[in-house]
Amino acid sequence: MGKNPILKIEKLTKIFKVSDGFFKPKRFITPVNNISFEVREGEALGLVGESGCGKTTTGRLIVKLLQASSGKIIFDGVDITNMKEKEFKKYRRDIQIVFQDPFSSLNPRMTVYQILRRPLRIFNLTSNLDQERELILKTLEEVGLKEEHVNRYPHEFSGGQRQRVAIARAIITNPRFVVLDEPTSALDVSVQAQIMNLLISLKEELRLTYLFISHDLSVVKFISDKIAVMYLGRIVEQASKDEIFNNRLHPYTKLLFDSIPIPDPNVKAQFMIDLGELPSLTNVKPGCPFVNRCEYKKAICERTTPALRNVGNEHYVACYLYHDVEESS
Amino acid sequence: MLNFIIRRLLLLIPILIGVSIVTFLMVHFIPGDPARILAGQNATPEDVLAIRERFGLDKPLTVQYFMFMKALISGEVKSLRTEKNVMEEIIPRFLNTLQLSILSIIISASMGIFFGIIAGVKRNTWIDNLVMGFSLFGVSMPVFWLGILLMLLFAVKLGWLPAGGKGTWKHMILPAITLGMATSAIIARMTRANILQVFHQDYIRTAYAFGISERKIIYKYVLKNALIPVVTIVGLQFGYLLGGAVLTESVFGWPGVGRLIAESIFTRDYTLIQVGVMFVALIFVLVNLIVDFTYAILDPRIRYGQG
Amino acid sequence: MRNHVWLMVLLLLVSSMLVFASETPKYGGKVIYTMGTDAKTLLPPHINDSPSTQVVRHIFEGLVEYDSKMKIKPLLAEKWEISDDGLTYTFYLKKGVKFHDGSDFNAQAVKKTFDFIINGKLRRTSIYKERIKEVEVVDDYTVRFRLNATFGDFLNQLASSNAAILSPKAIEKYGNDYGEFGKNPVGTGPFVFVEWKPGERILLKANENYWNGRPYLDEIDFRVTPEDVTRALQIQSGDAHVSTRIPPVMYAALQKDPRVVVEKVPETRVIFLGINTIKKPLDDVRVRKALNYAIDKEKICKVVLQGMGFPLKSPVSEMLPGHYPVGAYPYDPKKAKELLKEAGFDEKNKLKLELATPKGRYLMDYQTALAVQGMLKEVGVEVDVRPMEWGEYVNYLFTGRENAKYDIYLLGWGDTLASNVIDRLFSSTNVPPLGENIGFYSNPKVDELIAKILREVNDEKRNEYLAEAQKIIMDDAAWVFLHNVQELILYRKGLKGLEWHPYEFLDLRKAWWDK
Ligand SMILES: Nc1ncnc2c1ncn2[C@@H]1O[C@H](COP(=O)(O)OP(=O)(O)O)[C@@H](O)[C@H]1O
Ligand code: SF4
Ligand SMILES: [Mg+2]
Repeated sequence: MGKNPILKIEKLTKIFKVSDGFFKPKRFITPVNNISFEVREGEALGLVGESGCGKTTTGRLIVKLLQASSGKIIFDGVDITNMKEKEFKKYRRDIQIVFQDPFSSLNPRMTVYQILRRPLRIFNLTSNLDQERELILKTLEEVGLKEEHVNRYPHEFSGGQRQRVAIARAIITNPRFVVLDEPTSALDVSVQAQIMNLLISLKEELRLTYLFISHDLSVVKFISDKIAVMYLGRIVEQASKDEIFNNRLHPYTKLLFDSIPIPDPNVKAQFMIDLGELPSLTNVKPGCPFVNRCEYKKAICERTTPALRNVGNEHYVACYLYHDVEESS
Repeated sequence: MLNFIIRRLLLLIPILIGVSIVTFLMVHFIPGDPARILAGQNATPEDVLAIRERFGLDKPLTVQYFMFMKALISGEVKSLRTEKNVMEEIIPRFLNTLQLSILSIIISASMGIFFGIIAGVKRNTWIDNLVMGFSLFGVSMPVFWLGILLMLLFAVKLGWLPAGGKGTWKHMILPAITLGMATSAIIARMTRANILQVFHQDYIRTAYAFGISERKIIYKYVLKNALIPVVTIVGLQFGYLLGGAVLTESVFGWPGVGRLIAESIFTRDYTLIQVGVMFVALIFVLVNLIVDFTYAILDPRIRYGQG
Repeated sequence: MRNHVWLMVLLLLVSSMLVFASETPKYGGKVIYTMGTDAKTLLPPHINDSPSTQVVRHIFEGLVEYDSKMKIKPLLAEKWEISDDGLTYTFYLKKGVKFHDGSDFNAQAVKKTFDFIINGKLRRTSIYKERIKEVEVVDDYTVRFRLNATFGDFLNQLASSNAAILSPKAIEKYGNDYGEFGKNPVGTGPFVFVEWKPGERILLKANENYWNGRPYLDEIDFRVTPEDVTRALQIQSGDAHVSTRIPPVMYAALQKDPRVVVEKVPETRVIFLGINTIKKPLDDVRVRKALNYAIDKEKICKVVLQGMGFPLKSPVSEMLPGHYPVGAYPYDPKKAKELLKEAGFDEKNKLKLELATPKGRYLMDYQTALAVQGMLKEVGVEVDVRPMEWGEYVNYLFTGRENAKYDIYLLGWGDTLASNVIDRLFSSTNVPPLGENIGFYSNPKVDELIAKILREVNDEKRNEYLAEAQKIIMDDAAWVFLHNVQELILYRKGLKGLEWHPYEFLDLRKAWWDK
């Protein structure tokens, strides 16, 4: 496990301007608000939080499907935040993404072969058709599919198989970093474990680095080396997996972890109820994002936003219960 | 696929029998005695009775239905109004409707798809708003006013195009536009909606993530996928058009099948209404079949071989 | 007074046509006549609609015809004699006339035509069968009709396009296949049938061998465009050359257009509110009179019809010979109220009536009904206007005596015969479901007069009886007498020699282009 951070996020912010209708005033949504973290080579960082807290937006900022509003994304020591597409192109094969919904992520009019061939051609990874076919077949095998699948269309596959195709498409360029945006959430529970196992073994075999996004702690726990907890566009706590499981500090994290579902889909439903209603991401006010739901809140919590601070043992937390340093911005 | 087509064609038989019963009942339950109406004002009582007898209108309904079906099967149904074979009335009118519908669907599909693409690609910009605004206007503009306005401008004022009637290709332009206005608006909206939907698909995001140029993504991935469902909409709209558009046909004096059926309803030409409606239903179902078939060819997800 | 003004207009019109006639007509050119409805059939004795009549009158000819003042004049018969007992009509036929298919017109053709009509099941069979006992060929060019009983309107009946003489060859060929026969008209007229595309056009071309000399026009092209406004636009744009039933709202604009001529012409059609005279309290003549007094017909003509009508002075249109100007009920709401009071109705005990009306059948029909509703409200009568689609309306009215639920109903009647109007609409025997005396009007004196009218051959005497009947009907207030409609015809400037006949026939037989 390498030590140097392959990805470094510094004070990254994304603001969306949305209009609800022709005559309504514009609103601003800030799903990613001044976040910072690092991922080291070979590591898997799990990003958890409730649905709508900004995880997907973070992932898309990293693969540059979205342009950051401010802050920096440093990949392999190079600032790619505002890099032109032409220049960025050479990084594209290194940074791949796997989406949540395997039914939407594959072009229904393309066969598996065509889907996998596309990145090879875009990045000129093979020099002739034989090589191309060989690589495609090899990759399919790596994700647990067979040669007979190669000429089929996505609709001929089950959800798990489709997600395997999506994973194959992500790894075929031999990337260094893969954003996995809830890769198992859309799948049946029985299939989830297979895909998780596949992802873990691929990570080892291909020496990949992951940003693993999920709202489901039980899944994140399974794969992550480090875990970052996100709430309302901010990272409120971050530490190694063991540290955070044994010594969770932030009141939100506690709430979240206490509601870890036992692997029974019926109990899962309680998750959201326990957390109460999620406050809005629009027109963010100063103060701790969790202040409305926090039972430990202090006066200062209403006024200024706590910064993410190292409280020792590489354990970062943004809460005035552990430090009283105000965030500058 | 062949299996599928045969099954769908066989399904036509019960559909047509159903349509024949429903139209028969509806026709006979519209108030109005056809004999009285056909005789016209200034008819003697004998005239009215003679017409009733001549067409068997004095017989019980079930007998009339079987008489009608018998005549239908032997292809000898006669219009009460003109006493010509109904097919002789319907076919030429239908061919006229077909001509107009083809031109109209070409115009409205090309305009609708073109503007739908523009709106979809430039979604949420002023261009999109403008196109969608126009399409709202297009669906809500009454045919009567649009038709009259077009004729006032292009026929009476400018003299470029004829004011209604049938003759050269020029006669078809204004009615085709009028007829296609609403259709093109509908197609534009559907096209736009489909494009937006495809833009939200992750395989499009993947394409962006691979750094493929926006242009290429739009042409190669978005349009290809977004336009498949548009085929269905265009096909369905075409099916509707083939039923004839009474208003447009009246305003432009276009001798189409819609006007024919409407007129036969007003004159209670029972036989013509029944065969006319059955014919239009048959065409509609066939067009749908063709559309489904085309869709199956275009979209690998749909296979009709089994199930 | 109104009558005189009207006659002057008519005179002017006729004299202006005479002026046209005095110019030298030119040969050549085609006229596109755009009409609202397609013909139903081109078999004359099977016709009961005016579009078919309009076309057929250019192709076929009868023994006699009407002039534009509805007087009988010779056509295929040069002259005729009526026997003293009024039962035999002898016609001396024109010689050298040929049908379009080359067969000869002669006494045999006349007999064959009437035998065909009388023995057939045509839509107009009954009216001829009722009158004609037999047709006899005297010699090649003399034919004799024997009647069942004296019938004063027999010549008028022969002037109808229903009595046009058909080609004997065609009768042989099509026999009783009326559908086929109706598509293949063969007559002796100035124009020859070329083609009929249903709903689209009927094309006629000049008959080069016409007995009275080839017509001026090369072709007449009847086109169908249901929308009135469009037809007007077609004349303005030059896509068509002549049309009728132009919407009155366009009158002013069309008058300003130098490319076209717009003319207001009379019809024989009268519009009235029929009254169910057997239903209480409408069986009370005072109530019926009150309704007549309560309505301002002048105002309806001026405001609702925009000048396209004039009040009725009798149940018979003043365009028809035999009309007697009894005089309209003056607009007198006070008198109406008095009469209603006498009949037992006032503010407390209001008279409530339903007024059924078609919508879009006659010029401003529904709007007229609404105006009537407003006017009757002024005299304390509450009216519920009930518009109906034509077919449904006909059904509603022709239910028969037991089921007649209607009170008053708006209806129009166009005719060529005064006697027919009186007989069809006021004879106590012609009641629904088959007859057309929908109001069940019944007056023995009128019945007696009708019998006399139908039998009388002497015009003067007939007109006396007709006048008498009109007076009684008016006095009985059998209807609420509204108006006689007029219509707008529109044609291209340069089109000359058109002749309008009030029974809704626009005659193009002598039309020509001055270009
Ligand atoms: N393109 C966009 N325009 C406007 N709002 C957006 C856009 N994408 C995401 N959002 C909003 O940002 C918030 C966070 O969304 P997301 O990043 O998808 O959350 P998560 O993945 O944690 O569920 C949501 O409220 C969402 O509505
Ligand atoms: S900062 Fe204050 S409000 Fe926020 S979590 Fe800590 S104690 Fe609660
Ligand atoms: Mg998400």
